[in-house]
Amino acid sequence: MDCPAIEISQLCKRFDTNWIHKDLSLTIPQNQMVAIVGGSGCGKSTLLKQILMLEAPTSGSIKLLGCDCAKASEQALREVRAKTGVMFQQGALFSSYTVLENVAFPLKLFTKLSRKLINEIALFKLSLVGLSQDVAHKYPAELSGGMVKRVAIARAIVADPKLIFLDEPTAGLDPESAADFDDLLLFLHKSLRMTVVMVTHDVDTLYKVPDKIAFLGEGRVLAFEPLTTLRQNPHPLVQQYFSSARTIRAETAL
Amino acid sequence: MDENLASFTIDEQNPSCLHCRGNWVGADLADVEKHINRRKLPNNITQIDVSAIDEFDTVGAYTLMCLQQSFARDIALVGASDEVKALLALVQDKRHTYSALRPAQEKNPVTLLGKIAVTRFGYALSLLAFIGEIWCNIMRLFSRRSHMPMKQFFATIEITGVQALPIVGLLTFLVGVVLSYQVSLELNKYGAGIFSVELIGLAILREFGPLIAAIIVAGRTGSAYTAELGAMKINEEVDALRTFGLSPNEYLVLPKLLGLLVTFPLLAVWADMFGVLGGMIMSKGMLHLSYYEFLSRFAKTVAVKTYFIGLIKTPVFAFVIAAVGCYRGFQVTQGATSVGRQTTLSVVQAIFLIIIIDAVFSIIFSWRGM
Repeated sequence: MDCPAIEISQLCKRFDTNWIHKDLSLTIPQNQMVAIVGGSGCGKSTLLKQILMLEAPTSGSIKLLGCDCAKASEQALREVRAKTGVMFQQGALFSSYTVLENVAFPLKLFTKLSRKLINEIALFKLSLVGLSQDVAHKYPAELSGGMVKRVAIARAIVADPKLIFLDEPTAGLDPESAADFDDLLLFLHKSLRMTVVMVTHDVDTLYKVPDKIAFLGEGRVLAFEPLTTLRQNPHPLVQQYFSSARTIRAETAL
Repeated sequence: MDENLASFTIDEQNPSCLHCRGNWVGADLADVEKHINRRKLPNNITQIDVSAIDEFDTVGAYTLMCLQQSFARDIALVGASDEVKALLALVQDKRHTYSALRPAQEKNPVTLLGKIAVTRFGYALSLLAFIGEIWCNIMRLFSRRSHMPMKQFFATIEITGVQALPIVGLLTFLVGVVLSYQVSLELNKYGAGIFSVELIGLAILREFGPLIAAIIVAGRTGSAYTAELGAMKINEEVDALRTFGLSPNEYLVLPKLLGLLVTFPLLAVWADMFGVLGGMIMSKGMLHLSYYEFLSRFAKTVAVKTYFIGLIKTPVFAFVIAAVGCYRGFQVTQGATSVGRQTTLSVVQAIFLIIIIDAVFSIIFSWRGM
């Protein structure tokens, strides 16, 4: 498959009289790690929701893995969904399932494998994200914040998706766990070869993880380039975003 | 059948070689796995050729590893690309065998019974402690050492009282209609239809009005209290109140409890009115008893005492509904399931207690000859 992982063209989104996206286009090739950034209220979450088919665009089209979400049949959409994984900001683990059941959930849904193999693969994915077997039969409420994030990403990658979305993967983690999580993302991307799209505010993550950064502002993508060139971008919004003290601190730490 | 489906076959020229082909990815591997688990593979296999595999992921790697290990000896992999090798190494490095990791469940029935008894006793104690705490809070309120958020108090009155009027009115009206119908059917046989006035009056005022209203309010308001407090607890709003030095009981429970103590007796009066109205309308249809006759006989034969006996129970009902609802709300521990379970328990226990208390009241009244 040579089609781009995500192809957004001329996307417009309006809430009442408020235009969130005006003519937004973005093409993300396969096997890249891309971060979507921008100031608060610039429509990052709305964009993610539209890509995930949770919200319909006002106009324009979104193609996931070559499949136009608005026109595709139920069957085609199901196939696309089987090939995408999502990690929500708060984890969104099912509270009535154990960790293992949570991680095994997509496999049960999308494959017809035996229960034993599904459980073994789920355990394998848990150890891949650095969790031990002991947590497998715990419930989400018994886990720490960092563990919830790890379980959430294990659930997102369990069915080997081609495309994975991460909403604020390192938010709410202590700096050490956040750094570990960045390493985990790089490791997973390298070993499982998938396209990773993340929304993040964590400057450390931005410096370390993504290949390219899509900068949202004024309802469209202002820039889509690697961080080093993005820093040189003369657009005032970009300069403002990167001029804060935190960014400079993160830079000097490098 | 999809030609790209994962499969493996034995080489026709070289019967010691297995050929794997197709997409060895998650969704396509169910058949392969069944095949492996059937264990009917010939014993002379010495190598697996994986060069014809198109797509490969970790599920495929895991299955391939299972295939490799289903023979009791070393099997050589032939034609593995770097990609396949890397994934296989990853899987072998991090694999886990699934075993029954769950902690052993207690099976001895005596121990189980004991455990249940102890937890139930614990519930009863903590409910008692909760009620005690509420009383202390009410006392503090009356001695003006604390204050109650009046906004919530009035909101409670509107939500639990005003907004419940239509449903309580309609349901008790229908109960009155049904009761009157059944009673007059029987009494008419003896030509004693006129006595249905007393029967309806007594039944509605003493029992049905307050009881039906209590059951509606338990289902409507008790469940809402539990769900609201439960969601607040999960959302850490309850903890936030504590950090401001506010007692959640004072701030959240008291307005709800006192609000319901105000509205519920009024709802019971409303229910009485509509119950009798339903009975009166049905009596006209069944017995051709005019409204004037009905009401004048009602005034003569149904003592005011009956009305007060019915109403005296209502503050107790209101207290039980609000206390159980709030208590169950605070018992919510984790996640959405817990909210559901506690809400169910709240309604069931409130109705259970209401009926028990109603029975106790009946016993006391008959003992006192009322």
